[in-house]
Amino acid sequence: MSKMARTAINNLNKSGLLEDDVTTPTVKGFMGNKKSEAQGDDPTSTVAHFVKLVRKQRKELSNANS
Amino acid sequence: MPTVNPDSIEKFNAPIPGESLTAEPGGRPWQKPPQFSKVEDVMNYYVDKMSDPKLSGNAVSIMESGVPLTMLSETLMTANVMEGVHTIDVGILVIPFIVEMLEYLADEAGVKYELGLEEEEDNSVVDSLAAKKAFERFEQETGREIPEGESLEQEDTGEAEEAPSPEGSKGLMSRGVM
Repeated sequence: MSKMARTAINNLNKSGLLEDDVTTPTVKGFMGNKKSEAQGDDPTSTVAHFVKLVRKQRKELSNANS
Repeated sequence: MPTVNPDSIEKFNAPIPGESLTAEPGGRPWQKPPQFSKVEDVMNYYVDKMSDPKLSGNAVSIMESGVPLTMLSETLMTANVMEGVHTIDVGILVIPFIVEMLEYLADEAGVKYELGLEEEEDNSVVDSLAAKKAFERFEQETGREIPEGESLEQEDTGEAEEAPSPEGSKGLMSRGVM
């Protein structure tokens, strides 16, 4: 049942996109905010970027609890 | 502990032959263009969904019961594909984000969870849930309580063995005695 999810997570882990540190998107373009370079154009790196953001928030939460 | 064969349950979940032809083509939600096509929009949708206290409460109680997060995320994703929210390929891309969000919810609620990333399929949780349901139904129908340790499996009495072949027939093509 969970084979799709396992494969998706393992592929994202293997891609190495989750290893870089999260950078805050502060780049501003001519017509409003532009995407940060870390976010990337392809959907996989976009997902990886947001996964890292949530992971960072989880770390902050665990630090606050301890 | 009593066990229920999951294969016997799956047989009843199979679609009836010709079931796909009972609705007009394009009549099902997943046959129409999806509500969201970009991963950003789909992730926003899931963030909104998980901010809902009702859904997050249900998700936490399911995680607490021992269901792996991979299974829960896949079920959630498939249900939204069926409702026409997004396509299955975008759903698969977004699964790691859903799992991460579920982990966040579990951490926030202080619940221990199982990720389910191991290669081997572990059906013990599903088996125990199915067995529990079967026990409850049995107790409701008969009014009798099953003592712990009793197995639902029939003991092998050895009666239902192969019928003895008639004497004389040696092979598939051999003729019987007239």
